Amino acid sequence: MSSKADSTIETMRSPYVMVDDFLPLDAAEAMRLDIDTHFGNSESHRPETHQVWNYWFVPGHYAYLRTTPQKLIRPDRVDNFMQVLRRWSAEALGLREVTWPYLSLYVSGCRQNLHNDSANGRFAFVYSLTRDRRTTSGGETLVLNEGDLFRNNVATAQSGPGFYTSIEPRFNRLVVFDDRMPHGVERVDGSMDPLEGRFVMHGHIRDKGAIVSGALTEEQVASVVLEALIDFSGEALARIRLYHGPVVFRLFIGASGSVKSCAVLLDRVTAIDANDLGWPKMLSSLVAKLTALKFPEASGETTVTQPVLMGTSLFRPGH
Amino acid sequence: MRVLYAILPGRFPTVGYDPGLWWDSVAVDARYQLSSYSINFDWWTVLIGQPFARLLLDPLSPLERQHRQAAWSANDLDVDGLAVAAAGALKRCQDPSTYRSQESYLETLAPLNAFLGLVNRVQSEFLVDVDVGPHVRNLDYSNSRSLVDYSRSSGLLSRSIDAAIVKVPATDDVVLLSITSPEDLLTALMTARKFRARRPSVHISLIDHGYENFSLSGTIETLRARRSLDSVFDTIISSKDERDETVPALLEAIAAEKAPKGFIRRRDIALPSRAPPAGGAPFPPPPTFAPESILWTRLSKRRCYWSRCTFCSQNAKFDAPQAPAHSEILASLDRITAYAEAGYGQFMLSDEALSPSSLNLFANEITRRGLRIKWACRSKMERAHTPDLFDRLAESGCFEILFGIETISERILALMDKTTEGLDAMNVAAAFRAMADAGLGMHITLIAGFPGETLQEVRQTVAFIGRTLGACENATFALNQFQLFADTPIGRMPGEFGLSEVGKPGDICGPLSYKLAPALADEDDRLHSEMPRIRDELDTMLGWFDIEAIPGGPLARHLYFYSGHGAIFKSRADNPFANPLRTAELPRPGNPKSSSSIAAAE
Repeated sequence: MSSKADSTIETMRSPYVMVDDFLPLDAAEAMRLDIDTHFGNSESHRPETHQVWNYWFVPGHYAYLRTTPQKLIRPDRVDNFMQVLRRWSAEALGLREVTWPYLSLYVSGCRQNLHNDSANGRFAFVYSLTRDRRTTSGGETLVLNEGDLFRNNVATAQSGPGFYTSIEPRFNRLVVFDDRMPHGVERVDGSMDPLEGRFVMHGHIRDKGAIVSGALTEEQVASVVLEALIDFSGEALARIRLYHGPVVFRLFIGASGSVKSCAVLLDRVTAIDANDLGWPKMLSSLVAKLTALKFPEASGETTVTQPVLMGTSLFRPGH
Repeated sequence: MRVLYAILPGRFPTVGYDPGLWWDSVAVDARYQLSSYSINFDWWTVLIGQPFARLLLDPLSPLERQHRQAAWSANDLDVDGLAVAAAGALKRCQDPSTYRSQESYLETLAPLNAFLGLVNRVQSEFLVDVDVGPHVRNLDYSNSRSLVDYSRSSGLLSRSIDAAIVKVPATDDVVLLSITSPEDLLTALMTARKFRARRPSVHISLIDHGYENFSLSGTIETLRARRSLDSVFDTIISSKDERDETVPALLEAIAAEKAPKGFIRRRDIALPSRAPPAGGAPFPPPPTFAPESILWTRLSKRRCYWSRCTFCSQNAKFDAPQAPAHSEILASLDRITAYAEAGYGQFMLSDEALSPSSLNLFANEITRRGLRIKWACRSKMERAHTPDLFDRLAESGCFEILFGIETISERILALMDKTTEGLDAMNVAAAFRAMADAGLGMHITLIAGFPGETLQEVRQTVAFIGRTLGACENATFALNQFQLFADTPIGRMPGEFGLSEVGKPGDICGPLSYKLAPALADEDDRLHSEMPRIRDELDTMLGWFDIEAIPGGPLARHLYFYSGHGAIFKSRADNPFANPLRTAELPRPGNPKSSSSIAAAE
């Protein structure tokens, strides 16, 4: 992993991010060509190759078709996509677990009503293989704005963008958003031709412990970081319950074991009370504790990316 | 009055394109300060180097940049590292030592090839190609309104042009532009908007729009009615034939504050013609990525003397079909002499087909004058192309002739209306041998898939070219696929050639879609699906196939075949690419053969 120097790291605080041209264009086009080929030559379709779609219909909520992507796309291409996404997620978000995606198809009439995935992960990802030039409309990912949509707008006339962000499913665009955000998919209208529809690969991104690269081992790092976290928890035990969400730190540790810098890579911690202003101070305290840590001496530098979760577990038991 | 001739972002610059005779007279007219600037050279320098990543990331927020760079890293794309290497390679393209051996040329082009590939992989706005420059994806280049609309965009292409024009002073009163393709037209529109934004009073004129198969001449009235291009350019010179007289008249009108507007012809400028100043000054060699200055020019503004080929749209540019007169050739040679003195070492004569008699006269006159230049030309194979003529041409400095052989099928040649009495495949083979004996290189162009042509006929042509060129030195080729253009005999009478459902032409010239009669369609489908294999077979027969596997190989082959780099090599006695069948095994990844053994073998 080639991490940027701490001084240039920007903290991700927004509820969503977009990365256009996520894969090299030829890699994205090859996956799309597999989809096009699957739907081509309809006379030769056979049950074992083409009866692959699950029509996911939940009245009032969901209506779209989904499958596992390798049923249409060459498995090594899906593997490559997943490998790149995992690397990107580790580098950009500091979260290294990415669930195997669904490939979904939205033809005319398909949609997702507003919902959240608070129980599914930290972030959702949606990677689009939808053609930029298509004869359908809709298919945008809708992410509701943060805050109180009623109180924030009581005196202001608002329409769509005032309440939510609408993200076009551009070809080769990756969208990542906070799983706790209410979101949906705009109904697709127009042609029934599947090739004109919305194709996306989507799933969830989660934390899976620290990411350590460099001279120190994970074990050497874990025990030291734990000191800071225990110390922080001891000081802030009561208040931690007022907050919810992930914060990710990136520590640069010199060969001497001293922390050269500690940057906040991601901060999606949300106060239960919208008026709470205490989190920045708590975050500074945690940064200070991590910066003060002393790791074992080693033969070289080490980079540690450490996710920390505020609030109770987001996961269902056994998930 | 300050007048700028701006060379637009477009194909990879390895030659200078002659702006036309108007340059010579305006350059010595004391009323004007005439200069030229290659925005194209700067554009490629911006694109192939570290500025590329900066331009790509500039509009993003710091967080978005971080995430985009993380995506490059996750994809193992070392954008900055490759950019540095490619920028170095670009500079080495100007160094003569790069062209000494296959190995040094391939080594130079490898990082350039890799970076061009990367440019096309990490952004989706446009495809960059050494042949055409930037080509915006999903844009309708056949429609002037699409181009005009897109020229307002602020995407990567726009930002790259902004970066390329920063060194051009915004002090010119008049900017003159020439285009050679629909892609150039888009960059012309974008560049014009930028000049206008910097200096609203500037007069911007599109003075030339004819090159090879591309010309606006056939649709000029439609364009005039649509009011698209003239919403951006102040004036557009309608006729290429009149360009050299119209540009000086236009400048005079602008100076007199009587500037015309829109599509203009010489007669639209009411000012009386002034006699051009005595003498002239050559167009100074523009910077290119080649070690020698090569001028892409013409002997005359005449059409091809044959002017009958049913597929050919090149004639749309000019009106006069007669071969150039003796006096015209001598005048052109006077001009070429002046240009040689100004620093040009090579001349590529792009007249569609110079007749054997014109070539004979031109070569004899060069020899008589003792002029030492290197030149290449195009011709149509005739019985008059005798060994004696080839010897005379070689003696005068000619190093290559392009022949459009198209096919050896007499049936298809008849359909193309390109039959020459008494000239069959054996005569053509003999002519190739005579050229080789004279030390002349050749570039042979073929057309596969002419309506009604069979796969077997294409294979016979390819086998013939493989056999005959394999025995020659400095022989390159282009196996083109038939394209239908509106302004051609077949475009005007598609039904007579078995074509139907011909696509409606846009107002910008380009190939048209069509359907073949059922009796021809199946064979044509087979032929099209076989074309990649046939191309590979021809490459294999002539020793070019392996080069594709070498880093830098695909770009090296392409530039050798189709750019000024080929002229650099072919005009030398010790061309390392003269015949890959005879030269040492090319260096390949994993090939244990050392560089010294390759150099020794050469």
